[in-house]
Amino acid sequence: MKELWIVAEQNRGVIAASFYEILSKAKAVYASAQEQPCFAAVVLAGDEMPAAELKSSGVDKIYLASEPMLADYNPALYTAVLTAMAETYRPEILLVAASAQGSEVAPGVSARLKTGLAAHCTELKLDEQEQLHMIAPAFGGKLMGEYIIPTCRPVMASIKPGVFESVPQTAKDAELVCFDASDIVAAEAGIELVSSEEVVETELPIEKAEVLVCAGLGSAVTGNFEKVKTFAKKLGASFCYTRPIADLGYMPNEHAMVGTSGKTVKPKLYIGFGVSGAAQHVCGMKDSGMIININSDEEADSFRISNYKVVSDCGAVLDELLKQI
Amino acid sequence: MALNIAVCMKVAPDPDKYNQISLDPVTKTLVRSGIDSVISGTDLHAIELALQLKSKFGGKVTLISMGPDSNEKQLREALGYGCDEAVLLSDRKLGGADALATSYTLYKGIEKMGGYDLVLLGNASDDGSTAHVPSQLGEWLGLPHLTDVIGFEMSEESFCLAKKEVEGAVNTYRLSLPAVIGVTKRLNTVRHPNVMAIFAAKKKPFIKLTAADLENLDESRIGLAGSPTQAVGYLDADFHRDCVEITGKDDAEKAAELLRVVLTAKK
Repeated sequence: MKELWIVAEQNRGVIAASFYEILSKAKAVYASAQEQPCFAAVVLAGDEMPAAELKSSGVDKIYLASEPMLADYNPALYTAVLTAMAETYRPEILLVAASAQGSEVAPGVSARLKTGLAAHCTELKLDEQEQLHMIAPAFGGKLMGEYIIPTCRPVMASIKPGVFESVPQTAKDAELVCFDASDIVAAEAGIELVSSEEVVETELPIEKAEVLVCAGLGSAVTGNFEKVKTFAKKLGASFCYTRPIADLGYMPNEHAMVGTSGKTVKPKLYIGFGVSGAAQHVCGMKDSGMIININSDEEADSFRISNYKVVSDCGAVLDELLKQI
Repeated sequence: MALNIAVCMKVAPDPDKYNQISLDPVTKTLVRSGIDSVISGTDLHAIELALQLKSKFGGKVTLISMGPDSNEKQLREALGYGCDEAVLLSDRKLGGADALATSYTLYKGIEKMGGYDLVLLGNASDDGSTAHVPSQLGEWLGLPHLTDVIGFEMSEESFCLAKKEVEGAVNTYRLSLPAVIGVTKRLNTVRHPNVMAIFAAKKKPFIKLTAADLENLDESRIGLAGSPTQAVGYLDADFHRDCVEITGKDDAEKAAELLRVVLTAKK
């Protein structure tokens, strides 16, 4: 039976939500297929604990590589172990989350296996021959590219977290296969983790926010960046921003950055200030319930995807909003 | 000590013009006329890092790019930033390459040039944005590699420290050299060249290599034919909504109406 593998990424022993999203989507894609694959979760971890969590996730099989050296993420070790597992058990399809780890490990594995890899997929489907087609944003999300990997195996794809909904699956008593990775982790990798600074999220992750207020470059260059943040706070909304805000150093990290290279969000309400509407940002928020944009540029692309717009200087509108709220 | 650094550089359509890219309604092929090609933005940050390291340790910075002969223009421009020489891998056989075939070709180019202490590149190109090439290149070269790098330190020639964000943490890794590093725009601020430097770049060494120049090249791994990932086609990503303008005689009125809409939607 052909196997469809999903890497169940663990962070400090906890399985990432992306695993359940990818599993739900993969099951839906193959729901009416003639040839049903064996759905398997693949875990690289420091101990056996994460595998227990997967036992009733709805997969048929769990492949576990458990070594103390795999507790923390090391790209070289993760790449080597996942490659060895794939070489041993030869999956037909190998899906990973397009997370920080997955986006780094997947290309390394694909190079070692000399196979194809579709990046940051936002849709999966089967054609009449039940070949997997992978759809992903191209040109920063201006267009969607559709890809196949016709001859090489496994077919590999990284899947954008937050795009697919996690649907509870019928629990199966999954078979556990333990993979001995001791020789691989003992080999010289040329790269070692020297320090890890834990980032504690004090605020609600933006993927879970019902209302999002977004700062675009237009708000920052006009000196109104802090006002956007204040308005978000007063409104009881979560705050997010576009790629240039992170690139130009207005924010110290990318935790709340929305777009193809950031988070995918679907709030009930999205309000953007000085957001130009670059394809790469739109791709990450287009499925929001209601979209409102405030921009001084009448021709702003962000207006094309909005339900409501205010054409005005966003600083002036923010001053009024802060006064009136 | 002196560092021999390579920067892999891609020439891509100007990302500020992506909203002008469209699909031919009949043939479903890309229409990108009138959009200039530029140095892929993140690669400028790799160039900046290379030049900072060169000024600290001494050595040489070589640009390596795969693409058509017209890429000479952007390579000359990049030489103007202070790089020492440029290598263009240009051959019809190399066209249509996916990330794996691209990384293989760059690997062969690097091998032909004799190898480097450090290979730097932008983490992802503006157009494809797969971010696959840095890790794949590292694998072909058999060197340690790290992508998405937001901080980089080097105090001696045998190793470097590179920082990246992972889920829930910022990790610092120690890589032995030679190594391959994919950098982000957050790593540094690019210093743009002056006119004198741009003029000087015209006389800098420019090497063109064809497929025939690359030693032991496995032709089944290059170009479109050597690309396991194939594009079936493109779809329009039009997320247009009918938009209502919130109006008012001044910003106070507009804000009042906006607030009403917001609070209603929020309920």
